[in-house]
Amino acid sequence: MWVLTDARWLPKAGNARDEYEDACWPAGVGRGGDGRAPFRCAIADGATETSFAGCWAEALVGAFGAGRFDAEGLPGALPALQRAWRDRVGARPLPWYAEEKLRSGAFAAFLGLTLSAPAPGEAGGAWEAVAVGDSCLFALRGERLLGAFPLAAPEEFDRRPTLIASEPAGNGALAASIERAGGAWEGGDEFFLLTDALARWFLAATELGDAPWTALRALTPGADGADAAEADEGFAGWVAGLRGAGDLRNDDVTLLRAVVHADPAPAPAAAEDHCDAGGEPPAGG
Amino acid sequence: MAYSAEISRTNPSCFLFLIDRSGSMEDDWAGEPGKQKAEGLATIINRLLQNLVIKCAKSEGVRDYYHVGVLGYGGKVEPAFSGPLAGKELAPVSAIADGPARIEERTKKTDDGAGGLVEQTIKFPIWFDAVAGGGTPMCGALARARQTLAGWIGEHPASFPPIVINITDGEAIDGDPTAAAEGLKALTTDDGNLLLFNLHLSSQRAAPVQFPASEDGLPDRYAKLLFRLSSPLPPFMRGVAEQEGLPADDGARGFVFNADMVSVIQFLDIGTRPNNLR
Repeated sequence: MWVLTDARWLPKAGNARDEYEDACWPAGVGRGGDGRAPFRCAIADGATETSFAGCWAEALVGAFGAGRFDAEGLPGALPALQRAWRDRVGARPLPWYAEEKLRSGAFAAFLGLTLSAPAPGEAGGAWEAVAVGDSCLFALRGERLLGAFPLAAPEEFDRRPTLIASEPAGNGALAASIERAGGAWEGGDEFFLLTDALARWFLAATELGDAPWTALRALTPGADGADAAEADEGFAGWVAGLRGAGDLRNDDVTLLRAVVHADPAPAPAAAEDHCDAGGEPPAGG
Repeated sequence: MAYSAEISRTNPSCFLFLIDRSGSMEDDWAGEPGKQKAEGLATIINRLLQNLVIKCAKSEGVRDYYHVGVLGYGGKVEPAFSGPLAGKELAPVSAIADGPARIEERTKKTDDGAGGLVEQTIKFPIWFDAVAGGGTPMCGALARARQTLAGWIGEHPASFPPIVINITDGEAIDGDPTAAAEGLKALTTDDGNLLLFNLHLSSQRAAPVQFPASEDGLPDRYAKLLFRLSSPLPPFMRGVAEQEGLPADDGARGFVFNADMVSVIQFLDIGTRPNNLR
């Protein structure tokens, strides 16, 4: 098994790049999953109305990507992540309002995808996803949308999702909010992980009978050989167009595309390690 | 669609609070026995400002999603801030954050996330202390608000419309405030009419009321008048109120009786607000 990934992101229009509060793992363009170990990727979306949410989103995707929790292990992994977040953000004196805001904690939507290698002699393997909130996974086989998870229609999005809190008191109802899904993958299957604004656009387009994945594929440099800078520029122009037309809510946007292959991996591409195509910190803000 | 403008630093909205500082505010407040209405008002306006600042606070500081003003009326109508904000009719919310008169520490019991309670020391900024004296020129306050906000709207024509929150016992001495209130509500941005909400502090011992759809059941003529002066809640606000556990029926107005109005700040959308954020 090997997996080609490409992550694109942009802050909300009017915000600086360092105010982006989504996060993704891995960042930029890369290849992973070589060998028998499971491949993991994730996105998270820090809630605007909370502070230090980008750090929290980054902590969640980083821990998932490093295998510190899986679809079942999220609640158990949180105490250590919460302590680390508190140590990171509470290290310096803050003005009264920042202190009070910090007391409520940060919140983030989270979506993680695990692809398991095929069993010996098999041409495909299993995928498993875990989600809290409104970041969505779309599984594609060729031109067929296999499924959308955890939300399946644009009207299911609201501005008040239940999210993962960095303070234990905020997670009283977390267990009931963790969604899980799974299935079998075949070589060439694609997975799109999208934060809420883009996911909502995707679902609205599919309801109209369109194939929104065509546009998303065209934005990935792996697909057409465009270099990272061109891909960033193309993504920014495409997002601005959708926002200008009123088809995409003005919010941070993150797109992570993963294409899984069962065949033996070809020779490594020039950039084997994941890199940030934007040349800046790729996750969190 | 009205009331859908994005609130951002480049397209901010505005809150203007009108606070009744008249002599009648020395009377007992039924909302909290043992307190004067003026003390109740000070607690309410300080909490409103505190919540507004915290809503706009991010890790790097306070984002100026709102311009904020406080006009006091007790004898005369004038900007009510003291200290560095003295004399200012409107200021960016970051200036409000940096300008409380003092910061007190209070203790509060909070959920520890493990089924217990833990006592925490919290910082409570004070911008206003209780003040009571003079008459209640409510018509004058509404007219001054109109003048201030007409200028602001001229500079921010595409904004989410300003919200005026009038906190009073309702006993105006300068006539029926209906015409002045209608004049204020007639101000409009490209996104809709200005919203006038009223918070009635009363000595009447009656159950608190939040966002009623009818004046039936309100305890006195002052409450009924303030209800009639209040703008209907836009449908999206009613939706958020319901999500917050505050039933707001069709026709619900921005009026509360002997209750706070912090929920109005949470009604406004500046980005994702987690359902589990308390």
